[in-house]
Parts: sequence; structure tokens; C-alpha cells
Amino acid sequence: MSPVPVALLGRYVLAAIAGVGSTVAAALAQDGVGRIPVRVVAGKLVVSCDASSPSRRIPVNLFVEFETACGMQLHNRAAAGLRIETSDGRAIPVTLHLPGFELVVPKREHGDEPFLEEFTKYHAAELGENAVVGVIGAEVLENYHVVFDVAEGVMELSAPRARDTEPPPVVEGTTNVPITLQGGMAWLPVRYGDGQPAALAIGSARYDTWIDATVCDERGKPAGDIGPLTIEGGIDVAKFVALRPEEVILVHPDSVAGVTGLGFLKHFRVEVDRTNRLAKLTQRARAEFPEADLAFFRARVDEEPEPLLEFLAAHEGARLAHEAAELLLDLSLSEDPEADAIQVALEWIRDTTVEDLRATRLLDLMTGLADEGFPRWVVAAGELAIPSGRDDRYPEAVHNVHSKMGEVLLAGGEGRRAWRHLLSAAFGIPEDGMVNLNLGRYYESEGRYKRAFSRYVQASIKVESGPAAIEALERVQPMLPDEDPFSVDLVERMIEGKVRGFGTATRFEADEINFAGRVALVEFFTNAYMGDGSRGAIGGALGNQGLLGHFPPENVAFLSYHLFEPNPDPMVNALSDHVIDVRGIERPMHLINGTAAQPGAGRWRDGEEIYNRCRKAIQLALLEQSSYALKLDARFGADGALSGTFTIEGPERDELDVNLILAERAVLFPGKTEVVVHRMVARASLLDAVDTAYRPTDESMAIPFTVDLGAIVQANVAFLDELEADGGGSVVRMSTAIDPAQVRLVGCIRNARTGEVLQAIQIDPEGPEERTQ
Amino acid sequence: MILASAILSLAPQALPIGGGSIELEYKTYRKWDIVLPAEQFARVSGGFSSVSCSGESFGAELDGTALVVDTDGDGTPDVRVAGKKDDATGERSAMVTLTGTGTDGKPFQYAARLVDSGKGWHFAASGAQVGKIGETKVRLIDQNNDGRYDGFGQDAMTIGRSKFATFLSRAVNVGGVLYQIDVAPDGSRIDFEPYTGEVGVLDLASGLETDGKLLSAVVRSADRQFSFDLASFKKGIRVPAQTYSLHSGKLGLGKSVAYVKPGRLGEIDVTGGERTSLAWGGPVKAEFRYARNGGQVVIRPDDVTYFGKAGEEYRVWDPVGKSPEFTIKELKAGTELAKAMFPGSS
Repeated sequence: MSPVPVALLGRYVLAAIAGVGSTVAAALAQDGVGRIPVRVVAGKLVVSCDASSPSRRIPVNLFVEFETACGMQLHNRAAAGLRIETSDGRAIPVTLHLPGFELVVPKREHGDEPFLEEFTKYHAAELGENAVVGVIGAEVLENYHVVFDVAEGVMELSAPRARDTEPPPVVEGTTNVPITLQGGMAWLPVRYGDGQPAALAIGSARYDTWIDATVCDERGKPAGDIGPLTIEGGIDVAKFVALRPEEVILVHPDSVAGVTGLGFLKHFRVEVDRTNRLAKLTQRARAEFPEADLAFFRARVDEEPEPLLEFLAAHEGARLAHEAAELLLDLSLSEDPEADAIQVALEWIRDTTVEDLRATRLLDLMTGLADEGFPRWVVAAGELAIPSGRDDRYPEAVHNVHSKMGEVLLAGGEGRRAWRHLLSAAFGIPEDGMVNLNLGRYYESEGRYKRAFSRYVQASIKVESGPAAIEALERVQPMLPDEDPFSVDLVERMIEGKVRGFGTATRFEADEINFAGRVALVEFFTNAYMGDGSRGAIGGALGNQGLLGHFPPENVAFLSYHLFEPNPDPMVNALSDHVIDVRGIERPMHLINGTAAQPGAGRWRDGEEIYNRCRKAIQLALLEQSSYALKLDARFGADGALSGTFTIEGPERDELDVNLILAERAVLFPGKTEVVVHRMVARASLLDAVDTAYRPTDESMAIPFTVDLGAIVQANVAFLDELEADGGGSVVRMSTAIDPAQVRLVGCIRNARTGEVLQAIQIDPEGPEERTQ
Repeated sequence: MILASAILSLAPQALPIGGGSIELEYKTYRKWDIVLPAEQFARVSGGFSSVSCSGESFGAELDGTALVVDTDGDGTPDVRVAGKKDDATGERSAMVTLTGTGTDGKPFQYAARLVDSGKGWHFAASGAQVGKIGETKVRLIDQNNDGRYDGFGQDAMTIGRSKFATFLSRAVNVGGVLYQIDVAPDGSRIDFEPYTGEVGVLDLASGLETDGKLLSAVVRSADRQFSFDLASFKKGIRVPAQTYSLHSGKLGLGKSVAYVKPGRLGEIDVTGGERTSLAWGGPVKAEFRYARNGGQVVIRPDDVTYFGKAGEEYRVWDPVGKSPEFTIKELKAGTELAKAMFPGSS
């Protein structure tokens, strides 16, 4: 591989000396031959061993894939458990402790993690207690003399042989086959029935022996029954296995026929001597052509349901029956989603799944069918799943089946039937948001508001059910005259302890030393969809909550603006759009007095650190003096309008702006971050221009204002409508109403050029008792 | 390097099929495996407003993290899409089928793949209009998510068994014969007739130096009206005489793949009656940027770019477990100071 161009870096030369695809050989830690027990589990060759690093040792299962172009792939979780990577990317070698043999692999590679997880989920019983966490591939195995004896359940690894000077001895029953090495793989020379030569890779990654689909098409045999495929020496592969037509993405100068699978390796002991370019094949089992396999390959050629149905009926219990059933469902749904054949396909899927995974498999299916808009088949799959629920390996599966059925039946107007399923679900997964939400909906429809209210409260704190639950709480609460009126404070009380919060033990007490008279303004930029309950906006929100608790409102004013990324939430508005644009905000942050940026996101456990950093920055800001004094009077009139006067006093200077913002102290919205209550949400500017130039007369400027909250809400909803229409994303239409009891006004004067806040103020408007709490 | 040579004779095309029309039927792919040359996901913003071939308007709104979709366009949401969550990436994915009556009064069906990778729900087509020209399967895909299938140079199509799509092309090569096609907006019909314009041969497969297999090599003409996948034609195929550029490609070896983009590769002129081939592929040259962060040198995988000998660019190596090895040396003495590889690589 050619070196890359050299780049100068100060005194250093930075050069890449090895290229893509460089191979790292595994090191042999112990001499001799390792006889390693292997098992075939669901068509994969599995080895059980321990993996260790200098600090940890864990038991693992690994796939053995002789043809896969990798060294050792390892799941992130296993790599993390072994602590084999440092934060700067340095790798710590992993030792695989195989029976009688140790392999040291300098570095792991990433693998197909979803596949590994799915495989473990469905085959945990066969695998034992340990998950499949990775793959041993060609770049490790090519360093060894390898023997596959799958029929005996053994794989042998030993040091490469010395180069033979004599031809290999002839041993009765063993066929010596010269092999070629290409692309890290060992290839057997083969000939088709017409004598045309090709190469067949020795592989162990799959059960079936693959034949290149193009080869089949060229011979007019799309099902793979191309006739003989004879390995040099006389072994006809096609007598032992049905060749499976697939796209084979490999290259060989003699043209690629395909790759052997475990089905072939079960019939032969295969010894691969790379040094001498030799494979020794010893037959272990009698050739019994798997007619059922060929029947399936034929049945799938036309991509029509009928041949698959015929295959399933004729080959009950066949190895490929489950795959056929899944394909039957796919094709049937694509052809006619209402056809009764789909019920038949579902039953075949159930019948071809092992008994203790039927509920799990059908649940996975129900999720997809529900998303695709096939409620009839969700219920049908659920009915098939429930009888197997008790026997399922995963006890929660049946509860989730009941939940999904309840949801679908309720939406279909079958409340009583839905209720029974939802109650069953609630028994097993009592804190599930959707179960509680749907139970609440059922009770509400029955006029049982107290029960509904209780279920909605439990649903309100879960991201998947929260928005709908909060709307429902607001709807149901008036039906409960004995309960407190619905409010943010009520919900906050009810969910206390069920959601993450951060309270501080101390409270800032201003004195002449720590407060010089300039009220600080903390602007928090966040988004309800950033991250999840463990990391993202949650860290910033907890830190912000701590600051709100620590600093009195007469010393520090707070505002939060909602960002438009990753997805706009209902608290974005024209004001946040303007502020984000003018201040050039690109990520979550706390901005202290308009200039000092502090973190606004992190892991939830970072909340305290974010609080501490912001607190220190605020304390420094409070030591600053100000030449400006602000006064803010505001009152709700009997008509609901909010009016008042914002007065700024201080010397006139160029480039000074004043802001007056209406904020809500608390807004309910359960986003993905698991923050349910959003604080000091900036709703609108009360000035004609958000940034209004400071133009005093005799060092004083008074700005009267009158605003109708309904108009603000209307404008904010119109903004969301426009945002959606412009392709800005779908936005939930809730949490847009403004509760007068939660209104707080925040004013400030700032340097228009730098954004620095020179003085700030915040007040709660006065108003009629019935509008405030 | 682009090589052009005269073809002694362009053998007259054997025409197994003359001109005609074929009807296509909609097919949903629940497990999407078609590789589009320019796949794009459109944002679900209040609905599927860009799906315009239908008379209905398919609204959608968020319900928690789920999407509630009006799949039949009657104004009432009827399907709640929660999606399957990938625990490793946090991405949710699902499929939904929109049905109704098209603007022409015919039944309309549109399956959409839905993905929320943390930036809101987005969609792309999960179905195709499928028919056959002779015995060769033709699939039309709404690649630009507008609900129509007649966007030449924007929508996509596959010919034969291939899962690798080209852009929708006004000329298609079916069994070695070049046809000119026209497509109904709803994708229900293709009219075709033998192509009568000037024709040359374009060959990208024979001049590629690689240890892997060329899985796709999609070219598109400068006017975006013609597009072909040349990967499986080892001696090239007949294409309209046009100026082409490589749009995208894919190389594979087993489970490993690398994607090809034009990079610095220029245009490829195909002249009537001539064969044009391209010498490209290895050896691959890597170029990279770096940043200094205090006492650290930082190189991100995205900072490394790989170019083939014709200037084509290779990117998104998968699996990611392959990394160059970087060595920092003292400039004058050449002493090695540090070595680094990208984490999780070999």
C-alpha cells in the first residue's frame, strides 16, 4: 500500500504508513494443536471461550467465519466490559482462552451488533448463559493450519505446516485437493457439469452452500439445481447439499462458483494447509441430498405466495420452513393485505417457531404490523401468541402482546375487549406508559374519571405517552370537582419522585460583597428531543433546575429558549428563532449575561457539574456593577390583558438594546429527554421589536405595553403551522397555551453588538385573584 | 484514465421485442434491499405533503415519540407508528402504507419507510412499480419522494434481478438492446421503442483494478436524461452517445464494502461508434487532514479521503474496523513519536 502524501506539522511529519485493509495477525500464545469444541447453532458455527484483557476476563460465544474478511469482531458491550480501548483510541490486546489454546488478538473490530443481539435473543437456550458477542474471521484463522470436523464438533488450530518437498501421501478415504488463496480465503477448484472450471471458497459463516445467482441464471436454473459441481478429485458438492442461489460478492481469477456452508462441512472433515496450498477432504457422513432445501429454493423463485404454501404443507418441520413462513407473510402482505392467506402465514410462523419463543416472535411481528397499519393482523398475531405466553423464554413478551392488542382493539372501538388485555398487561408491566394511557382512555370513555385520572398521571411521565396523557389530564380534571384544579404545579406534585430532579442544599444570599447590583440574566438554550433520559438535554435541564433553586429571582433572571434541532418541540417560536439567529446559538448552552457560555447538555449525572460551572460563572457576573437601573410594573386586567411599563434608567450609549420577554415559569411537555416540566420558557417579546434600541430622554426611557395572551398563543401556533408547512418538521400541538398563573416577565438592557447584558429584572405580574394562584 | 477506441462495427441490435407498452403494478417491499443511487429521506412535516400523485392529503402528527398517520387521506389519523428501536443507535424505523385514489381516479398505493434517528421522522419509498419488458423485470422507484415515477434523472429504476438502481433513464439496455422509454407519472405504464440515436459502448468494468467485486457503477449523462449501471457488463454496454459522469458505485468483498464517488474523476465522453473505457481503481492513495488540540494531534475518520488512480473517491468503508495506521515522526531525525489507529479498528 502506497504511503500517503506527507504533511508537515510543526516539527513533526505525520504520515500514514499502512493502508486500508492492513491485517493484524493474531499471536500464538501456546504451541501445539488446539482441539476446540464447536457447535452449530441455528446455522452458525459457535465456539465458547473466555476473552480476557489485563483487567478483566469474561465468558463469551463467538461465531467462527472462515471466509469473513475480518480479524476478530467484538460487540461494543463486550469491548467495554474488557476495557480494551482507551479514550484516545489505543487498543489493548484481547486473549481468547480456547481449550488447550490461546489466541492473542491485538485489536478488535466492530461487528453487526443488531444481528448479534437478535441471535442471542432467539437462541439463548442453545448458547447457554453467554451471549454471542463477535466473530473470529479469516484474518485470524489464515495464520493457522485449520481443520474443520463439524460432524465431530471440533475445530483444530495449529501452527502453519512446514513446506512439503514431497507430494502429499495418499490416504484412503481422503481426497487431496490443491487449493488457491485469494482475498484471504482458501478456494477449492470445481467444475460445472459442462466442464467449465470455477472456484468454490471454503466457508463456515452460513449453513447453506451458496452458488452465485448469476451462474444459476446463466444456466436457466434459478433455484440452484445446476447439476454437478465437482471438486477436483471427484467430490460432487451437489450430491451432498442443495446449492442456494444468492449474490456471492467474492472475486477469484477462475470465476466464483460460491461458498461452502456448514451443511457441506458436516459431511466432510476439511483440513486446510495454506503453506502447501492443499485441502484434505475426508467424508464423515453419507450423502443424503436435502430435497426439502431444494424445494424451498424452487418455491421462492417466482416470489409468489402459492409455491411457498405448497412447500410448507409438503415439508413440515423442514429446516427452512420458518424462513419460508416469513417470506410467505412478506409476499402475502405485499400482494393483498386483506387476504385470508395472511392468517395462514401467521400460523405457519407460529408453528415453525420453537415453542418457548412463539410469543416473542409474534410480538416482534405485531410491532411491525401495527406500524404498517394492519390492525386486523396485529390482533390475529396476538391471539396466536397469547397461548404460548406462559411458556415463553421472555416472561415480559406476553405482557407486551396484551398491551399491543389492547392498544389496537381500543383504537378499533372494542373497548371492553381492549380493557381485558390492558389489565393483563398492567399486571406484568405496571409502569408502561402506553398501557396506562390506554387504560386511562378506556376508563375515560366509560365515565370513570378518577381511575382515568390516576392512569393518566402514571402515563404522563413517559415519553411515548406523556403528551397525550397531559392533554387527557387537562380534559378529565374538570370532571373531578373534589380534586385541585389542573395546573403544572398539580402535575409536578403528582410526579414528584417519579422523574429526575436536582435540588440544591444551599441558597444564594446576596450581600454587599457577593452582589454588586447587577442582576444576572441566564439564558438556557435547549430542546425537548435532544438525547434521552440518560444523556443530552437532560444534563442541562437538571443543572438549570439547580440554578433556579439556588438563586433568588431578585438576583438572577432566567429564560429558556427552545432550539429547532434535532426536532422542533412546541416551545419553539418566532422569539426563539430570532434569538438563536442573532446570538448565533448552535448547540444547547447556558449563556450568562449574554457572553459567558456554559454547557447546556450532558449526561444526567453531569447535571451537578453543569450546575456548579454555571453557578460559579453567575457568581462572577453578580460581582459586576451596572450603570443601569430597571423597573418593571405589570398587571393583568379584568379582561385578561397584561399591561404595564418597562422603565430603563442610565446613560445613553450607542448600540444598546432593551428586551422585554414574557416567559412561563413552568410548562408541561414530556419530550424524549424525560424532562416533563420546562422552566422559564420564553414565549414572546412584549416590545414591538425584540431588540429595541435604548433611546432615553434625560437618561430614562419608559416603554408602556399591553398584550393579550390569547394573541401570543395564536401567533405561536401560527408559527408552528408555518414551520411545518415549510418542511421544518412535525411538531406536537400541545403546551402552547399560556397559564397566566405561570407568567413571569424578564427585562434587560444589553450591548447590541456583543450581546452583553448590563442589567436585568424579572417580576411576576399582579392580577385578579382568579387568574393567579 | 479514459480510453477511447473505434469499434469496427456496432453489430446491429437483435430485437427480441420491438416497441410497445407494458403495464406495471405496485409492489411493497417490507424488507427494503434496493440500493438507490441517491437515496434521500424527506421530512415528515405535518404529513406526506410531497407525495403528490394522489388526490388525498396524508396528514401526520406526533404523539409522543410516535407518529400518527392518516394513511387513507380521509382527514382522520388511523395508524400510530411507534417504530422498532435500534438500541445501539437509538434510531426508530417503521413502514407505513398510504392508500387512496390517485389524481387519475385509479387506486393509489405508496409504502414508505419511516426513520427517526433523533431528528424527527423522515420517509422514503418502500415500494416500486414493477413490470417486465419481455422477460426482464423493470422496477420504478420514487427516489425523490414526490409520489411520482416520471422524474428522469431524479427517480430511480432497476433492470433485471439487480438490486442496484440507476436513475430513471430515458434509455434502458434490456438484453443488450437499447430502448427509449417514456413513463406514466403514476408509474403504471412504460412505453418503449428501439433507441434510434447515436450509440457508443461504455465499459467501466474491464479497466477496474480491484481485489473486490464491482457491485454497482452508476453513470449519469450531463443532461441527466440517461443513466446506467455498468458493474455487471464486463465488456461494456451500448449507451446513447453522451457525456457521462460516474455518479456512485460500490465495491464489495464478502461482507465488506466501500462506496465510490466521482471525487476528481472528470466527465466521460462516449462518441457514436466508439468504445470508451476507464482505467480506475487501485492503487488507492489516501489524503488526510488533521487538527492540533493542545499537545494532541486529532485525525477523524472523515478527515481521511481515498482516491483511485482515475481520481475517483472511495468512502464509507464498511465494516469500519479497517483503519490506516498513522505514525507521527520527528521531522529531521525521522524518529517515531507515536502511532495511532481509529478506535475499534485493525
